[in-house]
Amino acid sequence: MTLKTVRSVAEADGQDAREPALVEAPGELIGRLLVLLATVRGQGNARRRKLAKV
Amino acid sequence: MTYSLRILLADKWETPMPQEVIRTWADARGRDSCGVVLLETPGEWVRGIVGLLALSKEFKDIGLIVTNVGPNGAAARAGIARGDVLLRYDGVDLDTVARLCELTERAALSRDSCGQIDAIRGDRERQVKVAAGRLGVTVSAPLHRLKLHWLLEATLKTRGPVFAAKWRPI
Repeated sequence: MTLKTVRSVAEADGQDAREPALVEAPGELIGRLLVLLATVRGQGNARRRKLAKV
Repeated sequence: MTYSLRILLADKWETPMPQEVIRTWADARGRDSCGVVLLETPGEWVRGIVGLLALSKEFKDIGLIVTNVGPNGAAARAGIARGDVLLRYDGVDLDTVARLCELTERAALSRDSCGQIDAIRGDRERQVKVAAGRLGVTVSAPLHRLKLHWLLEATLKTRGPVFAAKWRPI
């Protein structure tokens, strides 16, 4: 199955929420993005860090 | 010769560069920090991730992204929602989470009963009054400003697919 590539918010808005997709991201941010996602969901080693409650 | 060169360059431009696809934590480790990668993402996460990337690009220097809002907190009562970007608190630029904590604590100790937040939702900036003290939100700095020390530790030790099956959208 060929996955659709999503590059912008407009493309994401038009994307079927049931279909997986390839999201284009800057390489310099990919590590930060993954850890933030893992932190939000409490996955793996990142679960020890909590988002700041204010 | 010029014509041949033009044909050669056009051919190079039209040929798409192969892009690395990230599926597991191992794929993300040790990769080059430049260029563009493709993250294989479940459909329900696509909008949130693309939105986060767009916000991070737009608010590199100031602003904090609201990641969650407590049901009965000061922020919820003031109409702040997940995905809003908090720019200023009582006129002071918000560049770090510590700065926001400091400002809310100072407001709680002062005689003022409320503080003012400048926030952006979509392309609309607005000012909201919030009760002094804790806001009842969780926030994160945009991606460019996240600290690296815990990022490195987490990416080195976490294993498996990026999107585990048990994950659900926020």
